[in-house]
Amino acid sequence: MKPPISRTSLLGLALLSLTTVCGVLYWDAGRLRNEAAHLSADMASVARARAEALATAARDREQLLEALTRKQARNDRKIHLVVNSDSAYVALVRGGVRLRVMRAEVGASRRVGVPPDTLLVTRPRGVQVVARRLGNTDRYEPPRWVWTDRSLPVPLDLGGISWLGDNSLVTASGTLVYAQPTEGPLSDSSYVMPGAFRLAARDLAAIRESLTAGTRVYFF
Amino acid sequence: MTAPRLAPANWSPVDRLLGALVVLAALLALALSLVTRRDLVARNAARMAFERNDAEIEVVQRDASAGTDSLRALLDSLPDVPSPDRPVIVVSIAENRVWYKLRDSVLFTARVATGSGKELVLQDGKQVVRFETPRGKFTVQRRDSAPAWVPPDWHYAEQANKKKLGLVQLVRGKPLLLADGSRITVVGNDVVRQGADGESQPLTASDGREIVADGKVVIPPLGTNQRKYPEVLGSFRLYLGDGYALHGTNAPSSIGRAVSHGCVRLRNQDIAALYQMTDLGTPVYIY
Repeated sequence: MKPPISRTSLLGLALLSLTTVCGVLYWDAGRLRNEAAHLSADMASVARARAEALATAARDREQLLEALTRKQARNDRKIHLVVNSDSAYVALVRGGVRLRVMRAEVGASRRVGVPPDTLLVTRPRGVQVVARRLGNTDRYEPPRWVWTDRSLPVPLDLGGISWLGDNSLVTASGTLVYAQPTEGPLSDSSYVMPGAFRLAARDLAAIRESLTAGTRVYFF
Repeated sequence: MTAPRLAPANWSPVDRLLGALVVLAALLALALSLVTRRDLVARNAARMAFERNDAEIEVVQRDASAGTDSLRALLDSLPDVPSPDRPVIVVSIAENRVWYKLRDSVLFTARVATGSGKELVLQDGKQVVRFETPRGKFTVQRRDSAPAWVPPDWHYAEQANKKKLGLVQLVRGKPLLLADGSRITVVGNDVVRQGADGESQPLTASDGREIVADGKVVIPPLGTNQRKYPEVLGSFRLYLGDGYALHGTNAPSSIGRAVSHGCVRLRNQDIAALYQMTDLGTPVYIY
């Protein structure tokens, strides 16, 4: 007896089905590859957008913080200091009047220390207060990285020497507003400690008596 | 030995060909399914990464705006204080210099003398007067031309200390009886010496040449002519209150040094120029 469907037809049908499956799989693989490629391309723009969003947010915050600090300084009727990094000056201000404007050398923001023991020192922003006003008998130990930053050996004993000029100021957050000392790593006129501000000794002497612990210092 | 047979021997050549093609198609379908599976995994991973980044950006933007919003709110909450638009006088004690400024423009500057920082122990031994120029904000309360100096009590104590003399306060209506029988008293606005014969003679007094009687420096009462020293304060005075002032001097060599009793001294030509420029109420900042 002859079967209802011949072997040849069955084989043909199977071949047709398999060919269709192959076609569908091939098309699907292509679609997936295209989609993945598009996603990858979009990923780059998303990553860029993310970085830009972060940068914009940081920039916005910095600008707002600066505007806020400037406004707080303008609103402060008590005697205070204004430290303007961009214009490189320090001003003694009271009641909105700039009593004395002093040229300042600004220590740049940068990474200091010897890897792996490094530290990113940045210029301060915002409001701080004077913590110490150093007289000629007061002692202040600069951080050890100042010596390594200047390629100088760190002394075993940092005490006993005034490493800063007279009338230097230290804020509660550790920012220095100093005069050039006669010895030590900060005595070189071409070097300003990163993140710090150097004023002429006569300027610091002139404002010394007007500053006390707690006097506000506005950095912007 | 015979080769392995791929199809039964009774298959026709066409069936054999079809059979071979079916096997090849099945193998191809298997391979394609593996490839598709791999692409699916890759696509899903890419989609997950994409969606996560997209969400992260949203978080970043939201965080950033939350931070900046509160900063902006704080900024807006502070009042806008205009910069002072009237001239001010600024004095640096450390540098013995005065500036007359409008905002950051210096309209006038001159050297001055400021407080010596010395201390005077009064004769009672309890009070100490320190001759310092005070720091802070003041205002010009009075403008005087040809001012006379009315010395405070400590001036007489200082003179008595210098001359190693005693000190006595003359009070209106209470004459000082002297050893020679005469007396010092106040008649009208003059301090006079009255002899035993009742004859009165007005006394003279000036800075450094105070009235001395029986080894004591006499402090004349306030309001008497002997308690007013002309020319000591130069030609003009800008009075700041509490006995402090910017004024001229009859000792121009003292300018540029810390020698005063607390006032800010200028050369007469400098105080004249400053006097002409300065209105009542002008703020004076001393630092």
